[in-house]
Amino acid sequence: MTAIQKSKPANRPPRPRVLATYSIKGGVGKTATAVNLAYLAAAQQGARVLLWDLDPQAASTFYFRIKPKLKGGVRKLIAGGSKLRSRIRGTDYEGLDLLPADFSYRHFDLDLDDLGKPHKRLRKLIASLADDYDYILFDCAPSISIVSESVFRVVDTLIVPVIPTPLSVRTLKQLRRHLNKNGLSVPVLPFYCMVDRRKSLHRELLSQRSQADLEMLETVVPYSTWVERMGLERAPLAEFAHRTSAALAYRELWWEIWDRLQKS
Amino acid sequence: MQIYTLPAPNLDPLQEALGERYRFETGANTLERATLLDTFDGRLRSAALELRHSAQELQLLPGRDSAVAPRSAPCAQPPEFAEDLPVGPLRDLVEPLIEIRRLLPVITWQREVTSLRVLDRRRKTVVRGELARAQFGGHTSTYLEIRPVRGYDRALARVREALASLEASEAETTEGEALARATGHLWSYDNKLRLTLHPEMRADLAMRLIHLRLLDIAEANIPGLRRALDVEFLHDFRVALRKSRSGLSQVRRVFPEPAVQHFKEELRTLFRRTGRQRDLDVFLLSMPDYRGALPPEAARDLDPLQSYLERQQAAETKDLDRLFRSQRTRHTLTSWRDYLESEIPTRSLPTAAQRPIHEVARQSIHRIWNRVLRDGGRIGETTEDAAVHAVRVQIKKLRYLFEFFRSILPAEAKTAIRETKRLQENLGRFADYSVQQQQIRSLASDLASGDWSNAKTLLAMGQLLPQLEAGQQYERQRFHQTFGRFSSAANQKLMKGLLA
Ligand SMILES: Nc1ncnc2c1ncn2[C@@H]1O[C@H](COP(=O)(O)OP(=O)(O)O)[C@@H](O)[C@H]1O
Ligand SMILES: [Mg+2]
Repeated sequence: MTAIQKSKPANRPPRPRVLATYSIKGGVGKTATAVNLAYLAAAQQGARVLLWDLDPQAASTFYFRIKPKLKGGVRKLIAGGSKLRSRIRGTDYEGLDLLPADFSYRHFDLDLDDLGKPHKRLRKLIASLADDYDYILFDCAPSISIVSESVFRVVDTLIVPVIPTPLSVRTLKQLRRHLNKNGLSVPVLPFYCMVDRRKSLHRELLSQRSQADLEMLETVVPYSTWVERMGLERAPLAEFAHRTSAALAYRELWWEIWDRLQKS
Repeated sequence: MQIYTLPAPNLDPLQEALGERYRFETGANTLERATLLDTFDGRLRSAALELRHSAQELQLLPGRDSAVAPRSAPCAQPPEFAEDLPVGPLRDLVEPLIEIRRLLPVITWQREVTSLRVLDRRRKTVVRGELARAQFGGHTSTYLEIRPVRGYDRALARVREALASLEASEAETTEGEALARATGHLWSYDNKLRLTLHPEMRADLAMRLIHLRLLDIAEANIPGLRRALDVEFLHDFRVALRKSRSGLSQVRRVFPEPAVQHFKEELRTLFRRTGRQRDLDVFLLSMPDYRGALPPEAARDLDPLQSYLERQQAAETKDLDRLFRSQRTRHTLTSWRDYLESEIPTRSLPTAAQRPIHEVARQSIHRIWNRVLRDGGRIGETTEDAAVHAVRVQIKKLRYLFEFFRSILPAEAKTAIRETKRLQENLGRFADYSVQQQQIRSLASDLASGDWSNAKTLLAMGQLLPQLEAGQQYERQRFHQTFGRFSSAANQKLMKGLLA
C-alpha cells in the first residue's frame, strides 16, 4: 500500500520544449505555420521562443526582416557551441528570437555527417539554450536527410501540415512508415492546411478524416490570401490580420498543440 | 530590460542623439490603469519580480537584479490565485513562488503610455521600449523602459549613449514598486521573527521584544483572515500565537507567574477557537491529493464531501469574523500588548527576570533538549502513538526556542537546528497522517447523519484510510533514523558545547 503523497505545486515542465514543422513535401505551409506558431507561443503565453530556420531558402528569416546571414556558416555554428548564442537575432516581437539560415545550410547534411554524431551534436546545442528559451521550433527544409533524421531524434513533437489531396495524405503515411521502420517514436501531429472548402476534393477528404486513421488534429487552417500577404507585410498574421479566419485557425492550432504537449 | 527615470516625457533629444543610422518610431499614445499584484508576504517582490495587470494583459517584469526575461500574456481580469494565471511559462514561473497565496492589489495607478522602437535602415526593430508617465497618489514620474533585441548590441549601445544626453538615470526598481514605495503603499510583512538580541540584555526585556514581535505578526494577519483572503493568514496568526504560548511556558521565571498563567490561558482560548477553521482549510487543501490517491470514479465520489466542507468553511469564516469583532478577543490582544509595553517593575521580580538573556536561553534550550533526548530515546517499535505525539510537541518547542534565540546562539548551532528541523518535519507528517484519519472518520459520521452523502462517498473516504495509515507507519519507521541523527554522539557533543 502506498502512502498518499503531498503533491508538489506546479512541477515545471521540461524546458525547452522542442518542436519542428516538417513535411517531406515542399510548399505545404511549413514555414507559414512555424512563423505563426512561434509568434503565438510568445504572444499568448509569454513564452521565450527560438525559431530555428533550417532551410537554405531562409523563408522564416525573410518573414522577420532578418538578414539571411550566418557568420562562418552553419558548420561553424555546430562545430563549437559557444558561437550559437551570438548568431541569434531578436525579432520585432517580444519573446521571439530567430536563428537565421543562409545559403550555407545547403551543405548542412554534409557538415553534420563530417563532424559525426549528428543528433547528439544537435541535442547539445539545444541543451545549451535551456536557460534562454521555453520553446525551440525548427522550420525544416523538405526531404528526408541526415538533418531531418537528427531533428526527428531531438524533438518532442513533429507538426506536419497536410494539404487535403491524396498525394499529401500519402506522404504523411510515408513519413509515419519511415519513422516506424527506423524505430523513431516521436509523436506526429498532422493537420490540414490550405483547405479550400469550395473544392470538392478538399471537402471529400475532410469528411473522411474521421474514418481514416490519420489522427489529424481538429484544427483546420483554411486557404487564405492573408497568409500569402505575410510575405508582403513580412510579419506574422496576428500582427496585421488578427481577426481573419486563418489567424484564428493558427491560434486554435497553437492551443491544440499545447494541449497535446501537456499530455505527453 | 532596463528602466530609466526621465526628468520630462520629452524624447526629442533622444531622437537627435541617435543620428542617421537609426530611426526612432513612436507608436500610439494610450491611457491605461495598471495594478501591481503581490502576495501579502511580498513573495514576488522578494524574488525581484513585478506582476502587473493592465489593459487585459498580464506582465511579469524583472527587477534590476533579476535574470528573468520579461513576459506578458493576455489576461482579462487581474488574477487572484495561481490557477487564474495564463497557462504556460508565465504561470510556471509565478506559481511556485506564490503557491496557495492570493495575489492582492498593492496599488492601481494611471499610465500614459507611448510604445517606441528603434529601427535600422532595413526597418528592422533593433531596440524596443516604452515611455510611461505614471501617476499615483499625487506622485508623478516618467519612466523609459528599454528592451534590448538580441543580436543588435550596437544599436543598444547607441541608445544608451543617447540616454545620457537626456539626463536619464537608471531606476532602482520597477515602476509599480517605485510608486508604491514613494507613496508608502508597500507592504512589509514577514512571518519570520528576525530579531537581533543582545546577549547581555535583561531576560524579561528580551522576552517582551520577542512576544511583541510575535503579536505584531499575529495582528497583521487579522484583516486578511477575517476576510479569508487565503488560508495562510489564519495559519500565520495561529503559529505566532503558538510560539508565544510556547515562549511563556518554556522560558521560565521571567514574568510573574500570575501574568504567565493568565495570558497563556487567554492565548490558548483564542488558538482553540480558530482551530476548526484551520482543520477545514487543511482538509480542503489535501483534497486534490486525496482525489489523486483514488481511482478516477472514486475520486468523483468525493464531490459531496467537498461541497460539505466548503459549506462548513463558509459558515466558519463568518464565525471567525464574529470572533475577531468580539470584545473578548479584542481585549485579549490589547491587554497582552499593554502588558508587554508596560513599564518594567523594579521590585519583586521573578528570579530570572534580570539575568542576561543568553543564560536564560541556554537554560531553557537545555531543559527541553534533555527532555527530547530522554523521551525520544524511549520510543521503540511497540510504544503507543501517543508517546510519539508527545515527543513531537517537545520538538516543536525546541524549534521555537532556537528561532527566538538564533541571534545569540553561536553559528555552530546551525547543524543542531537542522537536525531538529528534520526531526520535526518527520514527526509533523506523522501527526498529519494521524489527524487526517481521525478527520475522515469523524467527517464520515457527520455525513452519514445528514443527507449529504451516499454510500459511494463514504466508501471512497474509507479507501483513503489504509493509505493514510501506511503513510503514518512509514513516518514512524523513519523516526528511528531521524532521531538517530538528532541524538548522535556528534550532535550531543555539539549541543553540550553550545549550552555550556
Ligand atoms: N493557409 C494558406 N493559405 C494560402 N496560402 C498559403 C497558406 N499557407 C501557406 N501558403 C502559401 O503557400 C506557399 C508555401 O508555403 P510555405 O509555408 O512557404 O511552405 P513550405 O515551408 O512547406 O515550403 C507560400 O507562398 C505561402 O504564402
Ligand atoms: Mg519553408
